[in-house]
Amino acid sequence: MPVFPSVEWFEALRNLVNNDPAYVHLGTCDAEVGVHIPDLRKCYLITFEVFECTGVREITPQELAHADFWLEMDYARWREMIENIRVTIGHPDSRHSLNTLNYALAQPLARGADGLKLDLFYRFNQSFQHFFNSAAKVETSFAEKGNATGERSTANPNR
Amino acid sequence: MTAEQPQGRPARFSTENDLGLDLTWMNVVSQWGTRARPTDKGLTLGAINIGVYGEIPEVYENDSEMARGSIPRPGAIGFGNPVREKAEVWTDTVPELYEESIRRRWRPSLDIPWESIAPLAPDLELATAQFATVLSENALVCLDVIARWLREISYGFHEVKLLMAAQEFEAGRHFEAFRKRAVINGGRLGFESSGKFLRLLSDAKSFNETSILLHVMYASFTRSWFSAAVKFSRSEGDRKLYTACAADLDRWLAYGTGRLRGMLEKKPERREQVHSYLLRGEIALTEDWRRDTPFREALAILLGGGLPGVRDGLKRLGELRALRVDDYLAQLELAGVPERRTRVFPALRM
Amino acid sequence: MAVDKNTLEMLRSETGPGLDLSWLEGAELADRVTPSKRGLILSDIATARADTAPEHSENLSLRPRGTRQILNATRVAMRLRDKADTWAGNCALLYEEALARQWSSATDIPWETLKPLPDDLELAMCQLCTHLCEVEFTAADVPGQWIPAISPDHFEVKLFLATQAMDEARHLEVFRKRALANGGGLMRQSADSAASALRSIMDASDFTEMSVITHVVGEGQVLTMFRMGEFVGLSEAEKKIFRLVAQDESRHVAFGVMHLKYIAEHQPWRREEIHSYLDRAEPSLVMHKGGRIFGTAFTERLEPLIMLLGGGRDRLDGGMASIDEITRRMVNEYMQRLSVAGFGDRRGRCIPAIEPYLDPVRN
Repeated sequence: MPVFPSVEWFEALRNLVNNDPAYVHLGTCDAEVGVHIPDLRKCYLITFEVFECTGVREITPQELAHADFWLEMDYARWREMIENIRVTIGHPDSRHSLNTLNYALAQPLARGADGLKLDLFYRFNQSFQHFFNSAAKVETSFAEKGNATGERSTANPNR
Repeated sequence: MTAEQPQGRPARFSTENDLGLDLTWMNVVSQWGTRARPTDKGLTLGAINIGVYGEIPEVYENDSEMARGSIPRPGAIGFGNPVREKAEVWTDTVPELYEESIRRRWRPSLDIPWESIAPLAPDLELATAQFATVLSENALVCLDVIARWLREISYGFHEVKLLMAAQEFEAGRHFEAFRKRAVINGGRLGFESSGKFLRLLSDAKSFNETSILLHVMYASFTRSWFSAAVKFSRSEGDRKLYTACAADLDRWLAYGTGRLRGMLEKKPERREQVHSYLLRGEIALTEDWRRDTPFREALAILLGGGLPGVRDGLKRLGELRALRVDDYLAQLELAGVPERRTRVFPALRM
Repeated sequence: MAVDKNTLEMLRSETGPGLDLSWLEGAELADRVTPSKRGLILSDIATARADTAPEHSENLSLRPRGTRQILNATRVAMRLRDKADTWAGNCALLYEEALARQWSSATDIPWETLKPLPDDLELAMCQLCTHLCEVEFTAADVPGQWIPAISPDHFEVKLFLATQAMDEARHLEVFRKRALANGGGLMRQSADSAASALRSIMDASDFTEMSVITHVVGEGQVLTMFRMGEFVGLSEAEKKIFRLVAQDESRHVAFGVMHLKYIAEHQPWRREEIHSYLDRAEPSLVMHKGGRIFGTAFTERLEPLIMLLGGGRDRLDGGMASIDEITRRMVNEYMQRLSVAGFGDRRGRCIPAIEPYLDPVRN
């Protein structure tokens, strides 16, 4: 069972969207999206190209600047978002979508140095949301801070 | 489709507040209780044309940007959309044609299997490039013309405006698709057309004139080229390209013939004017045909299977031309102008 | 030569209808353009054929860039012949993206998720949708009236504007459908001040003037509102409507920003002119009402939004607080776009009414 956050977890989402006609239906998406969980000191780069998510890898915080933009929240917020996605079976409520989190947080969720590239968050928002909504189909363990064993999500809709 | 009948009014709300808000809009409703329901094709434009919202007036007096069926504001300024008569723009299939445009949308970059378009022999590839160049040029002019007239049509006929926005989009698609086809296999863009018909289309002074030239004449003759091209195509990609473009023009024709028919039923006195526009278009097309040597010869090469067969291709081109004219006249029959068969510009057939 | 000269001569000399075939002379075939996983996009063929939009077009005809000229082609007056008149570096990219991300209001919106609402909320949503019907289609007509004036050497701009017309058409119909799908119906036409704001974009005499007012100011404002749509929408259908229209609107704003950037880089002497357009357009970003400033000039947008955000007629106070936040977001996103476009100095020159909403500059 993949642990959030981890390359394995994001790979699980990647495999889901790459076999999902509904993702293709949204249209092409081209962006390199960073994910930053600052309190766990974890960063990832997710590459979207045309109709696929073509890659996921762990990166350093310095490398975030090379992404088109990155999504940054503390771990508790990420977990809350993913658990909401799982409870709502892939339809996060209006406090837990990428778009609303971007507005609700004190600092925007989507960040980037280049305003035009940051715009990609909005232009391909549906595709990114669909990517994260796929978490509804992924059995997820959540890493405890400082504890590598991970804790099973209590928001599993299949329990 | 079904719809619930209007059921009175909503609750009435006080506008009093200590926030300085107006709130009078809460008590101004057009037709409360009108509830459109999705059809088997979803919630379509036609499905929402119910109650007062489906009443399309013969003349739309309001010259503002107001949505048809909403409550007008006294003193609203005009937006100068001069085309305001239903007879000039309408046919009952407009909502369905628009939705079909959406349903059957295609993407030249992704939906044409370009990798299947293997290079042809040089003579065929160059002829294809010339053929595609003119088709591309024609489409860009159509885009310009549609954009210009989209602006002129009253907001009272938003369905027509929507359909024309879709046609504008389709013209853009045709332009880029044929531009890509011209060069993908190493060809270059060929010669422009002599442009007589395109100038006539660009210079049209009324929507009626424009629609006759664009939606009937251009759509009919160009669709015929597409149909012929499907037959001489040697790849899945080429066949798909011409088929997709032909399907778009089928809808343009459906609109054009339906609109013309409806206009003549309401305004029979305009029949001779229609013939005048048709004659001008036929003369221009004939002149273009006489002058557009590269286009004509390119087609002959394609129909003849290559340069050595060009003379055979010319014969087949002559037959094809006759078929095109017959198809055009058949469309005019659908449009309520059957007598054009005896009045068509003679040289158009030659 | 790709075609054998002797074959051409032989064909010309044969009896029968005269053949010219001169258009084949000297013609050579270049390398094939290989489609990528993105398919075959405009930039692929432009790159392969070293085909770039000229800084100034001498093409006074209807032929698209690169098409070979015939000597007896008719001449056509073309108003916009300089690339800087209309260009944005991303217009070809945005065109292809628009084609790839079309959606259908008939089938992609989960209309079945609409549920009966209290009258005040249904009225508010319907009034907002009525207003948006007006706004969206004006936004389609306006760029369209410029398309014929643009040189065919800069066809990428024409293509992008055609996608904008299609997007706005879709927005008109989706908002009309929402107004008529849940029992409310259409409501009141927007107030005269609103219509004047819309007329001003139609009255623009210069493409850049139109683009600044429409794409950067007007659509930027609407975009902020659409992005807040998930707070406004009361059903999955409405939330999805706002998400999808926001996606489209983002492309229009992106074009406007990049066009302005091109002007800033290539025609720096026009800076004061641009500021004059912004001077004229910025008042449409706000409204003074009841001693307060609101981030829109339209009563029929503002008040329904307040009601939807608050949760009803009796909860307007809550909506007011949210409107303040929307205004703050809108103003700062607007400034950020201008900064990207090279007009960061607008912070010191904006109308006083929006100054209170500006976030401090981050170092």
